[in-house]
This record gives sequence, structure tokens and C-alpha cells, in this order.
Amino acid sequence: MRAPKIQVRDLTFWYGQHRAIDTLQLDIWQGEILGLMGPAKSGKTTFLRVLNRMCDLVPGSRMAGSVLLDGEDILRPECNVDTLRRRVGMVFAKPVPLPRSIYENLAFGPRLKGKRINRKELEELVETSLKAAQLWEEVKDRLHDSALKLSGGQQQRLCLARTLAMQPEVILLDEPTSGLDPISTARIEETLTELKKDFTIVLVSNNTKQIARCSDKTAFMLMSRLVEYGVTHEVFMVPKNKQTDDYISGRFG
Amino acid sequence: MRIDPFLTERLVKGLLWCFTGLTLFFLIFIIAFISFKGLPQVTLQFLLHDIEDMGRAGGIFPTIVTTIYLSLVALAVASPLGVGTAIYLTEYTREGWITRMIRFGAECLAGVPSIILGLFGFVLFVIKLNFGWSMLSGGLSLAIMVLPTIIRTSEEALKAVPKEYQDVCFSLGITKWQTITRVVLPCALPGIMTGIVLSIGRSISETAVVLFTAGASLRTPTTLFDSGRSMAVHFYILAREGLSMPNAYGTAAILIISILLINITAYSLMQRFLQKYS
Repeated sequence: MRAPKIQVRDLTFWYGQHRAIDTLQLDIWQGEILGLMGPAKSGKTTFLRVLNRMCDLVPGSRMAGSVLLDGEDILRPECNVDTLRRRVGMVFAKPVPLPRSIYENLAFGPRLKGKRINRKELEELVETSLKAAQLWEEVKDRLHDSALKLSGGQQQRLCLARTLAMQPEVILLDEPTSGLDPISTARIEETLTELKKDFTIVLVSNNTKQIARCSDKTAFMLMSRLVEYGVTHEVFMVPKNKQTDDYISGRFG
Repeated sequence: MRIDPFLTERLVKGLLWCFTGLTLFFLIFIIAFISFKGLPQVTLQFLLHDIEDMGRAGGIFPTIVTTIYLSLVALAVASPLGVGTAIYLTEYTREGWITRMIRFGAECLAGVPSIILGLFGFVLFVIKLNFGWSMLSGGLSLAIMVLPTIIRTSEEALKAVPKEYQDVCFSLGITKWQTITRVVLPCALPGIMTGIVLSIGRSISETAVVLFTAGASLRTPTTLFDSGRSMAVHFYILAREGLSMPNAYGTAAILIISILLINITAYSLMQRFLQKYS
């Protein structure tokens, strides 16, 4: 049996005195979408940010335990965070296109990777990334227009495409559809289902229905702890924990 | 007795209008007065000729060259230092007592009277480092003078760049320095330029510092170690020694018009910057 892509062992994370994640154990598998749900302040976004060490940017944060990506601990101080973040891409809740053209938004990352990349390779990369994010058809004739002119849903798919252009192994999504209309949301979900063959995806969402629709495994976090983890339909049909049941059925504050 | 609020409203409005009008009047009066007195002197001859007879005759060509020379030296030194400091303060440190100290130091530097800065430049650059009265001494002293302006405007400009851009860059595995050079600086550039352009205006009009550190030679400076008199210094000497009032006004007119143009440039740059981010 193959090993999980990411193994989280005894992960604890503090912001100053506040413990945002408490001894968390979790396996994340390649080729699957892990849906992570929980109320506000439950630690799910923090967890996501630990996976690509974006959490380092917060002053006064500390962490303990280990997170193994392909067997290598990414929490070690000698781990190069820039290299790590290229392998573990992230899409934020609010779409943030850089103030450049659509093409430049995608070409931006690969160009700065350090490796020389010629024009043709870059164009191909932009095209495949946009296709994978299902945005290509809508923007192929205006690649050099400003990315700021796109609609919210298109911008979010652009952000996804920008992450894909870095050719990551893992994609983290932090409530990617929270600001979008239902149709845009559906398109993003469709895209994610399509992408999961090739990537390891962690999807954080406030929307339990979205988790139920998209994810293969579901984790439920509450007050910094992992309360429940399992195959999605089992978690939603027969939750082992009462709090999970309450949360899913909306009886939860 | 209570005053009718509507009457108060009208009185206040009138009063404030007068204040504004008065402020505007001073500005327009100064410009008009100097132009009226000075512009008749300004001919191509005046602009392109050497100073003759201590300034009683001839043109002001050497002073124009000196002024530009000094400003360029000051900018070449102060821009990298100032922008670098601003980048350090906004991107590479966290807000704490060190950043507050640096900022406080810069504010104090901005408050140093220019005559004292001139004396300092004289002692350090002219005497101690033996640069003599020269473009180098003058430029370096002016650089110290404009540094706080550049630091502060650059800092404001850098802070105005949305933090999300940096998050995006970091999440793509782009290093901090790449993020700064490729995303943050280009976005902040108009704001930074505004500070730099304002600094040009200040160095052009500065007299005391330049008088102490660049001397008042009548020749056109060529090397960094040549002395020269800037337009402001030339004006000061002409007026002070009563050599030629018409030529003094002519110089003043050129000076004031160039500063006006520079400030207009700075203002329009700032407008563009604000439009982009608000």
C-alpha cells in the first residue's frame, strides 16, 4: 500500500498564548480531495497555512509536531519554504489577481522559478494551466488584457490557474468560493473534481454541502481539535461524533 | 445672546473663504511679483551666458549647471539610501522600538535647520574629508537634507501596496526580494517618484547648505570636485551685495518657475498613484 502524501503527526500550533491547533493527526492522500470543515476560529485555515508554511508570516507563532510531505518533515527549520511553497500551492478566499495582464499573472511565477524557460514553453504552460482551470475558452482571445477586468468567478479560476502554472503537487484552497455566486461555485467545484487525479487537494470550506459534494475524505475541526475524520459519505451519513452530527445538520452555533 | 445658526454658518463660510483666498493671494502675488520683475531679464542670452562682472552683467548659465549638478548628486545618493531604508522598514522588520527609533531619527533629521546641516556638511565633507567646496560636498549635504522626505514618502507608498499581493507571491514560492522587486516596487513607484521629485524641488531651492558646502565659484563646474554657485546662492549674493537687482530677479524667476513645474509634476504623479489604489 502506498504511503499518504502528507502525514500530520502531533501538530500543535500557537499564536502567542492561543493554541490554534491541538495535537492533530491526519493523513492526506494523493488523488483525493480532503474537505476540511469547521466553524470560524476552529483552526482550519491555520492548519492549511501550516501545510505551506505561510503561517511563518504571523509574528509570535510557534509550532510543534511534524508534517511529512513525501516522508520529509516540512516543519524543520532547514526546510526551504520557497521550494516548499512551489510544491504546495495555495488559493485564497478572496481572489487576488496581480495588477497585470492575464498572461502575465500566469507567467509571473514560472519565470521567477530560477530555471530558464523559453517563450514557447511558457505559452504552453499558460495555456494548459488555463485549460485545467477551465478558463481558457473565456479568455483565450484577450490574454493580454488586465486581469482586474475579469469577473469574480473568473478571477478565482485565474488564481487557481496561476497556482497550477507553478506545477505544484498539492493544492490548498481556503474557502475558494466564499465570495462567489452559485454558478461560479459550481464551475470551481467541477474543476477541482477534474484536477484531483493529478494533485492532492485540501479544500477548506464553511459550506458543508460543498464538502459533501466534492471531497473524498472529510475532516471536521472544532476548537483547535480534529473531531472527526473519515470517508465523506460515512461522515455525512453516520457521523461518529455527536458534535459533527450537530454541525452538519445545522444545530450548531 | 445666541447667534442665529444660519448667520453663523454664513459668517464662517465667508471667513474660511477669506483665509483660503489670502493663502492663494500670497502664492499668486509672489509668483506674479517675481515674474513681473524678473521675466524681462530672461532671454536666451541670460540663460546661456557666463556670469560677468560678479553678476552685474552676463548670464546665469553656470548657476543653472551647478543647480542641476548638485541635485543630481544629491538624488543619486539619497534615492537608493532612502528607498532602501523604506524597504527595510516596511518589509524586513516588524514594527517595534527599532523601527520607531529609525523613524524618529529620520523625523529629527528633517527638523534640523538647514544652516546647521550646512555647517555639518562643511565640517565633515569640506574640511575633514577634504572634498573642498565642491559639487560632491554640496550634493552629499543636500542628500542628507532630503533623505527624510524620500524615506517617508517611499514608506507610505510601500505601505499602500495591498498586502494580498505579497501573500500571493509567497504562496507561489517567490522569494521576498523577488516579490519586492517584481510586484511591490512597481506598484509603489509613482508614490516613490513623488517623494523624489519633491526632493529635487527642495535641493534646487536650498541656499544655506549649498553656500556652506559648494562654495560660490563663478565658473561652470565640470568635475565632482569643482566649486560652483547654485541659482539660489547666486540670487542671494546678487541681492545681498546689491550687485544687480534686475539680474537677481531674473534668477529668481527661473528658480521659482522650475520649482513650480517640479511640484506640478509631483502632484500629478501623486494623483495617478492615488487613483490606482483607492
